[in-house]
Amino acid sequence: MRAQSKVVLTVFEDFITKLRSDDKFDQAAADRISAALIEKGETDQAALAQALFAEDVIE
Amino acid sequence: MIYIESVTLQHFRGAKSLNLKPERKNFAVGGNNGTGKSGVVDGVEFALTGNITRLTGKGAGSLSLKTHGPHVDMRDQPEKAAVILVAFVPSLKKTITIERRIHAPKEVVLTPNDSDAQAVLAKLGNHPEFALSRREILKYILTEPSERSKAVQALLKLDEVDRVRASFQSISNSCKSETKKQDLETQRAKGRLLEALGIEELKTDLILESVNERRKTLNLIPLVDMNKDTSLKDGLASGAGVPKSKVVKSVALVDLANIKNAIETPEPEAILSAVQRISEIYAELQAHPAMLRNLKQRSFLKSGLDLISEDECPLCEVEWDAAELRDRLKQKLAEAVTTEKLKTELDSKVLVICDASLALAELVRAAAGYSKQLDAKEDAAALAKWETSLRSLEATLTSLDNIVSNQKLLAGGWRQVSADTTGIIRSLKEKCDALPDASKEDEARDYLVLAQERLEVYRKALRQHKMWKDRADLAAQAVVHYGAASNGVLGTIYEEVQKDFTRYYQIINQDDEANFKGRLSPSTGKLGFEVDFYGRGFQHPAAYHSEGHQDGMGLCLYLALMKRVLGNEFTFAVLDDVLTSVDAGHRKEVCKLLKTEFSTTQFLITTHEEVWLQHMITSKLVTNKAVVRFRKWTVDDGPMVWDQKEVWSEIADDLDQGNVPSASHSLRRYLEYIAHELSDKLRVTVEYRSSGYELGDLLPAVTSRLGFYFTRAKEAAQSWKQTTQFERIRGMHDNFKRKLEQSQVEQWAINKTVHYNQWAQLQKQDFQPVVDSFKDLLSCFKCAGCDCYFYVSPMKGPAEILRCDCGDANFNLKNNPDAAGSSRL
Repeated sequence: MRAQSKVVLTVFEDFITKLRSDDKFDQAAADRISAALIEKGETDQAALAQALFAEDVIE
Repeated sequence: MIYIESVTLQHFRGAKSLNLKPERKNFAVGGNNGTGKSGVVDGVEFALTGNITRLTGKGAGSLSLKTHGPHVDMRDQPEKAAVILVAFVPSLKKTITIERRIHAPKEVVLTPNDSDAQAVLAKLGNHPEFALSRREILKYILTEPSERSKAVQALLKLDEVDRVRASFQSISNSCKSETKKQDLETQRAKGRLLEALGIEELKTDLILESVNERRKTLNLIPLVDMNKDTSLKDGLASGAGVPKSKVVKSVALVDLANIKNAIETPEPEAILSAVQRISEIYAELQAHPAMLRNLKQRSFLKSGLDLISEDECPLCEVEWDAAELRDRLKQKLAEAVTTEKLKTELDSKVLVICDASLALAELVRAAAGYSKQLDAKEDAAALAKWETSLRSLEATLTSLDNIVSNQKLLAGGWRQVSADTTGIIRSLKEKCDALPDASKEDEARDYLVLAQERLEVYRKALRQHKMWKDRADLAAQAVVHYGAASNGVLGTIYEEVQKDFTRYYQIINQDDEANFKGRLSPSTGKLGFEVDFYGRGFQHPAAYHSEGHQDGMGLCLYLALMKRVLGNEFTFAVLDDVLTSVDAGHRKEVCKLLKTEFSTTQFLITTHEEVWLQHMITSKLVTNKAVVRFRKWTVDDGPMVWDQKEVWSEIADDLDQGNVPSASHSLRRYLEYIAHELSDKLRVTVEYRSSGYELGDLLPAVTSRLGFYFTRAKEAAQSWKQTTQFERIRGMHDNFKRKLEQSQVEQWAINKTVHYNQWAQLQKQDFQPVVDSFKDLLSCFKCAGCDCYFYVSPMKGPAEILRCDCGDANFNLKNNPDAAGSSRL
């Protein structure tokens, strides 16, 4: 896990807020993305794809 | 995050052994160029991050940490090269010790080694930007917007923001691409279903009409509607499907006719056009080898970018500054924008051919099945091999190298037709023609079973297509929201940085640019920076402002950015010989800025200019005790701090060895240093000189001032009727006058040696009296008890006392007002 700077964390948190306020966005996906970015500090493509779709779809 | 208490260098860079004690306060290191100041900066950086940017960063060339980090005499023993840094962590309210050695820069001896201390160290390692050199200033001010954007992004740690954006974009692109493929797959499945149903359009009424006709033949209930679960063969008895060995003659003949059509007729215009464009793109890439190379490296560079986590290349483990390596790779990727467009077009053209190849493979697969069912096993194997080959085309053409090496395959050869396959298809058709015609019932049953089979394939393709489309939509939404979030946050940050920058610059230039304004203009991948020039409009910072003003802008922008990045945790920064071109008036304001706006930040400041050092002291940015002056550097001893005992013994050694030039040089330099020190301690008044002060300006003023204080002290002692004190001061004053006279007699020699370079004619016996006279003279300026130089108290307002550190010398300078004019002893 990488230590995120304050600025990066602010961007991530604002991003999650926007996802949560979008009724059309899959809220389960929003939960997974929040856990990946903010709680686990996972920012690589595979982890984000996993969070978006709940399975590994990008090689 | 931290305040530095002390830093110790052992066999590190230019230092054999050096200990400095900032003691959590601002600290200044002075000394001419080449005296070892930068080694201190390197040491602090190494202790906190395990890296020395000077050795591993841009322009370091063949330099490396492990080879050039140790003292030159310890290159073979890097384990002895160490930095030990003691720091106070305000958030933990405790002191930690960080020790690193060059041979294993990533291994830290941390005391205490608990999770809190480890977290602090990790955070420090993530913020190597605490050190600002003049070279760093330039990259904020005098660079292109794209380069400035990179520098600022690196400082604000925004590369992570950009990396996540790129990842979401890449996921979105991948999903779109997969959706497109699934769309083609769906179209193929639809075509095969229409063939099986024998209709032109996939409409419910047409399907029901055709299907119910066969169902009626089999006395099955007609279907009245269709939904996602409808089975066309509903009602057929279990096991009533087509026997595995049976070929449906009518369908087989249609399939074989389609294969014949696909391999014998000229290629469709869409495919010819795609092949033609692929050839043109290939020719263009061949004509520009750099583009071709760039395109080939692209996926490698992308992977490499994701793999950089340490300060080394993830491939060859050569030491690199991680941020710099990322920038380098990003630059190379950016250069491939044109080639990337070509690659995208190339991929779309390849997809057209792959789609046709897969459609043919479907037909060949069916033909292979017919051969097998008609006991032509060798033909079935050959057809299966052909099918595999057709299906592998898509996988073969994923990389540019393969596209390039398979040019012939694309140019008309994608169908991979041979005389054997043509013969097999012809033979298979003859066998199918020879099959007896099926009964009406059999034909109806075969129709329903095959149509249902292909309907299921089509439904599966539709589900896959929907899944990928949903994913593409979800990813696209994420991209939009992420873009909005990052643009919003960064926009706010840049606004705040702009506001702070403007205010800081106004503070240091309040005399002539109190209404100054700065403007940061972020755009994708760029950061514009313009400044107002005396109300005449916004300009490039280097357009009209002087070099000194630009230095000031660099510092202000750096401070504004650091405040934004670290907030209250901006407790420590190194300013390595910055502001060299800022004029004297503005330097005082810089000191004021650092003191007032960053009162909780500890600055470690290096400078080669004594005047700048004096500004720091007089403005109380640093105290006298928090200044160390490096007087010289030798390869054997490293930086040498001014120490009077060392100086006199060094001069004595030089004279013993007959080295008068070295002795005279040391004496001159020491007198220059001590004249500055005494000027400050005794509050000497000298004529203003914008170029600074030389020995000839300060030494006479210093001696005159001490004489003045002795006179004042004697008068005061008289007024207070302090006979013993009066006698003591008179003795000191008389002694001082004798020594001063003696030193002035010998002044000719030191002037001669220093200014006229005639030292070659002097011998030890000529120069020794000069040394002795100055040593004696300087002894008059200090207390015999504590060996410290006298100073005047207070530092401002009327002088009241001339004293020393231990208090043995404590001479009142104020007369008894009641005894004025009548009570002299």
